[in-house]
Amino acid sequence: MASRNIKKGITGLEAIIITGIIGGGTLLGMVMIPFILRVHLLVLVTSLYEYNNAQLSLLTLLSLQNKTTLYQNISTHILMNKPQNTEFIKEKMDLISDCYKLYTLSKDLASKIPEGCDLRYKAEALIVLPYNPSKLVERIMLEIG
Amino acid sequence: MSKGLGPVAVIAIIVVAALCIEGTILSNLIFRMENVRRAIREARIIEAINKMEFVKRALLISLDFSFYQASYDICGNGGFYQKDCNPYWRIYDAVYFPEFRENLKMKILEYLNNYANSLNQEVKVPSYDKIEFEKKAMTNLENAILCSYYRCSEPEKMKEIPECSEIYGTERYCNLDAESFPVEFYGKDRIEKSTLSSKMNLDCIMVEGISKQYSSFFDYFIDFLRTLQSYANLIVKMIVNLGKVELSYIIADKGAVVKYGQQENCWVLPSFDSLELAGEMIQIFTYKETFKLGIDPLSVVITVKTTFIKNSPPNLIDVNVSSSQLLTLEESDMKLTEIPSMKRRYFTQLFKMFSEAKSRFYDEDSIYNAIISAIDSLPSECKSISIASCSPIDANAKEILNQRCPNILESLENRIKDEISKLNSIVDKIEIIVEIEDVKTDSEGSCRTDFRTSPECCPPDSEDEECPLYVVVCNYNYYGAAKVLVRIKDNSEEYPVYDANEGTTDFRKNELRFYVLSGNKNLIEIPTDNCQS
Repeated sequence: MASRNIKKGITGLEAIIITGIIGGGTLLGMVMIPFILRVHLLVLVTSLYEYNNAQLSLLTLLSLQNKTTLYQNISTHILMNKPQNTEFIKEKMDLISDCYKLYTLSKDLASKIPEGCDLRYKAEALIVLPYNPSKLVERIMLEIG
Repeated sequence: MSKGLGPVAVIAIIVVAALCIEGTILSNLIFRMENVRRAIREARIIEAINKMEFVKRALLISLDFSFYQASYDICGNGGFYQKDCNPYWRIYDAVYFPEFRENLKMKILEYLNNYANSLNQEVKVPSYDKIEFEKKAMTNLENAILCSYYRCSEPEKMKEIPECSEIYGTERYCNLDAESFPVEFYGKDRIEKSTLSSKMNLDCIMVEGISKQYSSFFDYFIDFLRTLQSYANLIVKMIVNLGKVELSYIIADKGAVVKYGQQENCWVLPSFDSLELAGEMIQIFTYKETFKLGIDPLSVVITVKTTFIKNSPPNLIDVNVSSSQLLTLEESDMKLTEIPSMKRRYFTQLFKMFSEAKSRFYDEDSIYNAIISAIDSLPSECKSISIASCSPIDANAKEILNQRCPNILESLENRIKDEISKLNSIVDKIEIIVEIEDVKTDSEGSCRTDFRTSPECCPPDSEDEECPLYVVVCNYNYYGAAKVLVRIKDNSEEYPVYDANEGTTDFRKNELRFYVLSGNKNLIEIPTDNCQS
């Protein structure tokens, strides 16, 4: 009997249940996938924004000025090691972030790394130095959390 | 018993459902991939723009450093371009005035292109091939401001400044209650109107800095103009990027001067009305903490009519550089290009230094004049010596001079040194130092003997009433020559520059150095290695 029933097919109730499961799964998939995608895009956009912010922070930093630009302060400090410039650089960096590290390959310029600070984002740029025969540009790095 | 669906129908339903699910998943995946691709591309575009901005910023600072270094080098070499030579501006009657403007341009381009080569990495930086100077003079701006002030407060004092009548005529009173009284600066030769706010389509701009005590309103005003006009765009960026940062301000106790504007984080100055206003602004700047000052460009009604005075050197210079090629950042699927032209304004004493030097050592010969003054000051008894003797005298001019005026040439040398040292002076912030490297003196005398008679020359037992008297008259001409090193130092600013002699880069003052060899006789050997090509 049982084998005959199978041959005849499933009943209407079973078909409704199967269709319901498949349809439900399909609907769930249709709803969930965009949701997952949305979360993914949000993470992507956020990380993009934060990444750009690190680079923009460095750009901003190099644009700050009063009588002379902070850019010149940094570059003269790199080349001439003027200690009075350090405080000025640090003061301006504090305006940009609470968690940062500004450095070149050979010198730490300013840093503030409180507990829990995660220096995730990094930007770098070439900075020009006051004229000298040996080296005119230096790579400067900014890491911010 | 119901028939139900057959297995084929069930399979068909499952297949259709699977296809639907697959289609949904695939389309979502495609959308997602496309979004990711776009997002990455956008990120790369932003990153590329930022890279370009870094290079543009670096090039602007490169121009600053190149200008400082070129000014320092050109001044150190007396205005001449070539090195390893002695910059003489005068060798006796021959004068050599360098084409320092052209030399300065060439040097700036040379250094700027060195920077461009160093920056030529990811972003392709072209060489600069064109440079122009646009000179501006604001030398009597201070007087114009004073006139403006006196006109309102102390009209009688306007008489002290001759230019006031030219500026304001007979109108000597103004309405202090007027809400908007623009400060105007009038020129004699050329009138140029420019409104500071003309290019700023923004609600608020900011000037940031460390508090500073300005010695005069003029200093402040120059500083302010320079800051505002040169960096307005950058300041705007700063505000945008620091929009969320809490900025601290200092509240001026002179509330009437600065009012809190409608814009958040922005102080608004209504306008520059008069020196009184400016005077109170200076008090704001005396605070020792960091200040931030906002200016509402729409209400700043400064009309600057730039003043040009005949024969006065400009102290503001706009440097424009350009290249025939483009700044280029090229990646696999994008290409960014930018015109690399730059314009920077510098407040410089350079032209004033050259102007002072030219008037003293080229147009006039101050060293020659000093030598002549020294010679004139010699005692007259050493310029003409008369000796009377009853016996014949050996009329040797040199010996006679040595007997009557011993060490006269040393005395002349000292007098020349004293006269030359009087040339040391300070004009505004420009210090003129004349260092004597060599002084040589000489004299030339000729004697003649007059034969006269005198009874005093007759021996006691002589019967003659008159006996021969030998009168020797020696006249002397004096000569001097001096080689001096003229140093004209700008004490107003220090620049980060490299000094080849010391081999270091440090903050140094600009110093124009050149030699002058002058005198009324060629006593010092004429140099052969002067820079005159």
